[in-house]
Amino acid sequence: MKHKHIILIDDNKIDCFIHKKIISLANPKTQITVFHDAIAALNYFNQNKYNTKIMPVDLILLDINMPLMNGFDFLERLSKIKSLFNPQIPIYFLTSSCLKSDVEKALNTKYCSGYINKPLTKEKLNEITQPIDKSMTYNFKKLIACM
Amino acid sequence: MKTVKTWCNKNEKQLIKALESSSIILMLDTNGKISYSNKIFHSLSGFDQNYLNKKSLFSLCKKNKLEKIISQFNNRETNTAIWNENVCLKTSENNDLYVKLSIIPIKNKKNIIKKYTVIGNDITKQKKRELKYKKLKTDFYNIFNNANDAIFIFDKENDSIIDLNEKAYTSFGYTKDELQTTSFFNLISKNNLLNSKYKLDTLLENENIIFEAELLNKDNHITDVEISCKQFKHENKNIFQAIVRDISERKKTHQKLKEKTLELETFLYRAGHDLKAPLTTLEGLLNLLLLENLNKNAREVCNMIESTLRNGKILIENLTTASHMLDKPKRKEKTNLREIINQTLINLKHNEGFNNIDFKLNIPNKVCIYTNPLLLISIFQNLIQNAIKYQRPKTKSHKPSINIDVTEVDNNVNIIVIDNGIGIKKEEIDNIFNLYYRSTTAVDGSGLGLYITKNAIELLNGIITVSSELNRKTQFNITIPKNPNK
Repeated sequence: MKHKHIILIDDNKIDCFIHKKIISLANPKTQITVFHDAIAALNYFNQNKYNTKIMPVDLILLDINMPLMNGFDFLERLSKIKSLFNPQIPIYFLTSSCLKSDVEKALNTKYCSGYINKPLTKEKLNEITQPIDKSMTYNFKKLIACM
Repeated sequence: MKTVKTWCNKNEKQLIKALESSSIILMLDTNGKISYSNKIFHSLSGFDQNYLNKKSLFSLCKKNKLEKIISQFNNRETNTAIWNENVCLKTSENNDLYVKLSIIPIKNKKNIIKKYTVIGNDITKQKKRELKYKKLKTDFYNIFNNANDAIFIFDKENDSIIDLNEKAYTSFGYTKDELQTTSFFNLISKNNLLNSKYKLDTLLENENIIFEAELLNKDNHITDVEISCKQFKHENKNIFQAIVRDISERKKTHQKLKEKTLELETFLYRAGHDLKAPLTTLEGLLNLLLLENLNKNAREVCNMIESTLRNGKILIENLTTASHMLDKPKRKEKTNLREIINQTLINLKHNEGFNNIDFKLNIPNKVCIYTNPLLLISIFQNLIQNAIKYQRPKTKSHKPSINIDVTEVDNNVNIIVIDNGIGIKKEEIDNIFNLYYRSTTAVDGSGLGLYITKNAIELLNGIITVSSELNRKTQFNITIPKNPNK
């Protein structure tokens, strides 16, 4: 399955540039929407609650450490926008943090599908699209990190 | 009848002779003036007959005793029985002469006392010994009482305090009477009571023990103390002596130090992770650059940037591992060693030279250590990483290998890691566990790896030793208790 619309939420503009590049290289047709802070992303979801015209989102890549609102808070707020929020959308944390506390928290977060360490590479992107291996621990979530 | 009288006379004389040669004999008039004194008294006092004649016995007494004796002497007018008196006299050389005197009143026919016969013995030596002993006793009691630590002497069978010094009651707001004969354990806070009782119950004779506890003050405040306790036999009873020292200041400093250390560790840990972010960004950019059409020179530079980045990341990772190590033993789980070692090998798969190595693992399936798996991973990661890094190049006759043997012995797990790599020089082997020690600059490293390993093993109450033969092998022997932080 190829992703058609991916949302990137990361305050680091250079990282966004890298990730956009990697996604485009893998699939040039993918639409990528970038937000440099979580609040702007939240507004986007809120405003488009009932908007059927925008392309459905099929992957969210979310940084953890961001000013104003961090990735965990964002996810919690997003889950409250029920009418729009489709729990089927895979949401991955994409972060440079190797803090065990971050990893554990992420993997215990309800709508989080996995945890990836930056930088995003073609291989890591590929792994996201692979079907989940049921033999893996961590509540069937993907951990693509250098632990 | 006559023979009896002669016998008496004869014996009386012998008796007097015996008395004369061994005892002081004095005759006093009713005012205490000496009318007769014998040779023994002369030699003891240093005064001769002439000097003593008509001199009052009181004038020879030490001043402080004088009044008492005079008053007793005067009161004796009505009481005519023999009485004894210990007095201290001054000799001609102004030394103390202690004598025990028996004073015998001699009465006339009308039953009026006319004079006194005094028979006495020199008890100076005995008295001096007594005084010395008394002084020693008060000296020791003074030392005991003025000690800067609280001292309790208690009998555990009767569960009561026998004696205590001033510090023991004043420091904790009590009076001496309030504590004497109460139980020593009344003073110990509930939090430590069972533990303290157990410690003293298991204490053998002449054994001592030092432990920390909370002591209850009279106003219910708690003072942190260190109790140094010893059991000994005294008058056939088992007696405990507890020296109790206030350590609240030390505790406070200790707590502060702990907080500061944690702060520093957290800072280091966070700083390490924050530094990682720009490195990952650079890594991402480099990945993009490598996708471009680069010429040979540019590609070479890119490769060097890549290896520099990798080193930077390892350095930061080691730094953060070292910093938050103290937090790790707190989280414990049953950790299977075989799984941990396999996991570590997977983590190291991408290391340069990994594929050259012939791994021989001999790890029984069920060996577990009850601890935080991250600690074990960091131990094996560093050891195996080193073995990979310091391998000798593969030749026809040499195949680099790493052997890992795990065995269980009683409550311990023994782990042996052997490689056939370049080995460690004799003069360097003592330093390899030191912080920032690096034996070579030929291979990249941070100087933290083995320091972290040793720290992690120490946190698990384990031991690591190393032996090596240059250009042949290096062997690490590790022993870790199965349940390290019991």
